[in-house]
Amino acid sequence: MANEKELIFEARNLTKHFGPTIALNGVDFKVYRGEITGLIGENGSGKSTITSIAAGMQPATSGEMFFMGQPHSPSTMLEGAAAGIGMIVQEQGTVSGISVAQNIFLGNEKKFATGPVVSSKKMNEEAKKALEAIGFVDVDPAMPIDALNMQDRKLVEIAKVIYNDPQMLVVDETTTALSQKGRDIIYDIMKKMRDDNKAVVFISHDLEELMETCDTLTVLRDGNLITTMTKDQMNEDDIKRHMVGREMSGDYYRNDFGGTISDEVVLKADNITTGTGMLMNFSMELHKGEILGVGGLSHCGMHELGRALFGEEKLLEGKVIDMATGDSITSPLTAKQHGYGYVSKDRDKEALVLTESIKDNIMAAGFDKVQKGLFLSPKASKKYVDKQKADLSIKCASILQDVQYLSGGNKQKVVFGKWVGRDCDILILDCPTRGVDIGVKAAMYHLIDEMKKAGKSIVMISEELTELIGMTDRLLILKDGELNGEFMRTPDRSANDLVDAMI
Amino acid sequence: MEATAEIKTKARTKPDTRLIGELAPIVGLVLVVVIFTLLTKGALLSSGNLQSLSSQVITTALVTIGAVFVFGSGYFDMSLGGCLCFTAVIGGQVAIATGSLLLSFISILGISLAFGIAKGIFATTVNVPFFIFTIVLGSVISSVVLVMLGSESTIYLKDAVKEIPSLTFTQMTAVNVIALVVFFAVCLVLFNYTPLGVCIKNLGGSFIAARQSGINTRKTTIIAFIVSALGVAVAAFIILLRTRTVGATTASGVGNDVMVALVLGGMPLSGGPKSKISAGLIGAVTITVLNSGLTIMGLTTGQIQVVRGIVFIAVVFVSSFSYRGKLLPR
Amino acid sequence: MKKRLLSLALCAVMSAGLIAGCGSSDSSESSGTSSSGSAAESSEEASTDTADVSNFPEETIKIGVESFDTTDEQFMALQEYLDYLADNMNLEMVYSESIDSAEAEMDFIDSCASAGCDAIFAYYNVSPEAIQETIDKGMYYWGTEQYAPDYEDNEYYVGCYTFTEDDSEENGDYLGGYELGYSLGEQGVKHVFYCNGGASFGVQMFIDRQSGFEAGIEAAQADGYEIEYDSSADVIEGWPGTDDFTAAVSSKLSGDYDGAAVSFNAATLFQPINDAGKADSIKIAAIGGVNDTYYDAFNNGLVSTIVYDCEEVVFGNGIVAIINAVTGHGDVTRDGDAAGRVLTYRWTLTDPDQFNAIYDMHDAGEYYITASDVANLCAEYNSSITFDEINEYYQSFTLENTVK
Repeated sequence: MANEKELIFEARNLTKHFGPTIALNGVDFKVYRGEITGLIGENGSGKSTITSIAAGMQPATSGEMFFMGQPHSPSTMLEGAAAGIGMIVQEQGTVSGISVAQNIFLGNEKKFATGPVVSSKKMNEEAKKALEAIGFVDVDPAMPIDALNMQDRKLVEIAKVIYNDPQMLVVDETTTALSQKGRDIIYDIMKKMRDDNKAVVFISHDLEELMETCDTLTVLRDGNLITTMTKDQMNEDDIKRHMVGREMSGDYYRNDFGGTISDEVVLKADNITTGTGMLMNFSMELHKGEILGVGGLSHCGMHELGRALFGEEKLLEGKVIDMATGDSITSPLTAKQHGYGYVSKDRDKEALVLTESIKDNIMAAGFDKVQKGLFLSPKASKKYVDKQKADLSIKCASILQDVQYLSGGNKQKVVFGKWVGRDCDILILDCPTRGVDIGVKAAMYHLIDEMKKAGKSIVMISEELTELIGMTDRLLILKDGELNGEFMRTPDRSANDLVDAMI
Repeated sequence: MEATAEIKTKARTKPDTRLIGELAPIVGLVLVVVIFTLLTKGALLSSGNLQSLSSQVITTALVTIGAVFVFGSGYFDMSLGGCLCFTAVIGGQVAIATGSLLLSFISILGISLAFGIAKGIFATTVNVPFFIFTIVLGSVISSVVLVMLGSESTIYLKDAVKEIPSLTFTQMTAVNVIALVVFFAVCLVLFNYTPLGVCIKNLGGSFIAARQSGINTRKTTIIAFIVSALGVAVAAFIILLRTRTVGATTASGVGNDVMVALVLGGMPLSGGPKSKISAGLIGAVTITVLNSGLTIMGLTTGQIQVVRGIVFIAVVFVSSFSYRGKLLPR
Repeated sequence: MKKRLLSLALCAVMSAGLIAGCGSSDSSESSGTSSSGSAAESSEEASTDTADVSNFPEETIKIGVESFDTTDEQFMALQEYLDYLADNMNLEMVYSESIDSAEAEMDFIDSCASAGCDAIFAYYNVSPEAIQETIDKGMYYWGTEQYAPDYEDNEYYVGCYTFTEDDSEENGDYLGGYELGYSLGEQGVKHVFYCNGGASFGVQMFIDRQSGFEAGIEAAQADGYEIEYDSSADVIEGWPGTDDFTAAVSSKLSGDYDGAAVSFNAATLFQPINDAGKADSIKIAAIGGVNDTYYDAFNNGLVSTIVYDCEEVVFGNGIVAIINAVTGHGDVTRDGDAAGRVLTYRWTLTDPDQFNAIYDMHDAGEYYITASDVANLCAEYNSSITFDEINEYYQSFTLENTVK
């Protein structure tokens, strides 16, 4: 088998430095035709660096690359694409204000031109074919791109890349932004590419997904290639071990069952209807010392519920009541005053000021804990933030460093630091482990568990069923803004039941 | 994991360019001072001129230091010149009608605070881009000033019902220095030693993040405008003391000078985390020394504008190191 | 890093370009002045009685010149004359930027003091405090007549430009307006409208011009000229650039007017009048200068009257007063105890030949009162000079005497 494989891409001793940082350290990486090659590693391990160099987004510091037998050193993405490397990235890559078809053929309009006139009819027809080629049929190419949701726009991008018939396709953490339907489309494309004897490089955080899809899996850590496994060698524990570089302890999630939950209700949503209409007449209670999970499909209203509990969502009807005082929670300010904390799903936009230092970000929520009278001593502030840094082991050179330069996991630790430092009694966590490395994830689960044990009440909203199952005492599944199932913590709580409640 | 983190931190702080960016305003100021001292053969730093400079820098400095709070919170206030003119004219009219500087100062303070609070309330309640509101406010104020002045274009303290003593040059310098030092100190304490600074930086950095951090955005905004209004009030009173003449064109250049000064002081006009009180003072001194030095050198208006443009571009460019120095995506 | 270096290079290139632009404007300017200098030199060669006074006064006198608008035509003409004097005498000028407020004025005066200026030449003045500041800083002051009564006893106040001997209502602006009205009457205009500028907004100089204009009309009527003017119906308020002004002009142009008097730069009326096809039937009288703006319009008859302040006459005497005061001959600037006011005459130009004669002379960089003439009026150079002689000298420059 092995010697039948045809090499399509090879990097030899590929090295990339960012200033003093070594992002890639002499990596030898091979991609074969007829295979889906997975790449995995923690944030900053260098996996996106390899592919972006191959696609021409940035040059390598040293090393060689070969593509289809030829020396390969593209200086722009266009050169990379011309050589036959297509890339689908995580960020949004469509252009607003023009149609779907125009997006697909952006820069290639000449194809449909007779003289200076571009035939939009021909273009739309061709675009239709391009979309159908990836099995994305229910969209009219003449539609303005802005009428599409995020996921459909991503699919348009994919159609664009596939239309150019790449010999090697790079899918870089694209699936995290997509629903199951979108993912299925991408999986199908990848499989089709493989069956056509082309090559796919698939980068993802999602182990399960990688193990299911990939033929080989390469693990990177700190810019070094650690190992490459074939399908039969793949096993979750090994992969994690290679990624992290040490043994992962077994208790990734909580391992206790059957603990009793206090009867004391600390927070109550009473018949609330949100301004966006996502939740209608919804009620729920949070008990003291419990981890309450909230799950569902996107648009089920779970994120709105989190916002509403923190006073961040405009309520048309009903109230969110803090049971200890009987007060209504009407704004984040009142919520904070009652000892609530909130970690937003949109970390970079809502939970952090990216251009601001770690210190000021943490102080934004914590200044009243340090304040003496009217005054806020810089020394005490520093001490307060240093404590959060130490407690959460935030990796940074200095607390005066801008958070934008931190990795996703460390950013999330800063967000946690804002609220943990305040010693909040109630924490509302919306997708707290999104885009976070396994190592950090484990640390967070541990932290959440610690807080529960300290008698804090936690609402954990998540799109990941496994973490909901693993962490929560009680799990609410929402569907179309209504409660569609409640599951207590038992060893036999299964994903299937939850999925049934979601759909 | 430890190793990864170490690498990351080293990579992403970029201390060299950051430091350049943060030192740029001070380097700019020192350069401007040194160059003009040389070019004017020391005239710039003569004691007489230092006193004059204190007079020249004071208005811009007071308004700019106060403006750090408002711009820092993310509100682009284009009505500062108008408010300054209006309050100075009111103060002038009160002084002329009553012959009392105290009453004049009280009315200046009252009017200025009223403007500040009104702007703060507007900014927090009405959903209109704030700078548009301030442009409109500025032009409305100008028209109102014309109406208040009636048939006169300028009013003079010498026409007051009771003679208002005029200050000697040395007294004026003392007033300037005291006003500036006190106001700067108060602002420095407010910004760096109370929660206000943290709130303002977060508010300017991201309104949503500030609100979700439980910051009282309304209170913060209104306080920011009040501090700014205090600066405007003191500046208006000092203009009145110094020139004893106010009219529709009083402070006409201040609005622009404030924005230029903020940028020269190393603060982005969009506010946020990079806001700092020192920007107000450094920027105001830089632009004043620049203007004064260029005049002393006897350049023509055109040449002055070109030189000013170059300095402006250079400082903005170097400052940008501190807030645009991002790495490429990995 | 490459990107940053690239942008740094770009920035450097841009700055270099700007500096080069600055430098080239500089060099063109200096070449302009040098050519005017050489022209002046050649004229000096032609007229044997002019002496080289480029080393007079012995020590360089530095003069701060204050202006409200550095792009104003009259100021630019004055600036050319002052530059001519600076090139041909031992003088140095420091010009202000456009000054619009009392603070800006104070700032400029303070900067001038630091620059070592000996005097302030105020083409424009906002506040009396500025005069006080000048005096406090030990500089001499020559400027507008508005605050003369308050300061003329001070030895540092050395005079002002004026068109009248006393403080009567009939000041320079009044007289300018008067000439506009009377001259149009004299030229047989039957119905005139008047653009009063800032008179309705309380700007004093325009109020004076308007009352002068109305007095001029009355005087013309009294002398039997059939000129018609209604002080409410025939007035356009404000300045060009507003919709009201444009509308008022076009409504007036559709009427039976054959004359227009303008208390500011009349050039903005040329186009509307041409568009209305009335270029041949309307005569404009304006307060203006001898420059390119009016050259064609005056020569083709659209503008029939220009009330003109000849720069070397009206303002040049300020330089004489300043030199005398700075060189220690303050007594020559005094008329009795007070600062002497040198009386000058405005020129009412109605004849294109006169206009062209002045235009050609100034265009060649020559002046009716040369640098050596100025030196001759200075006691340091010509010890026998007295204030009365200076006054008489400038008064002799009437239009009739000067432009043949």
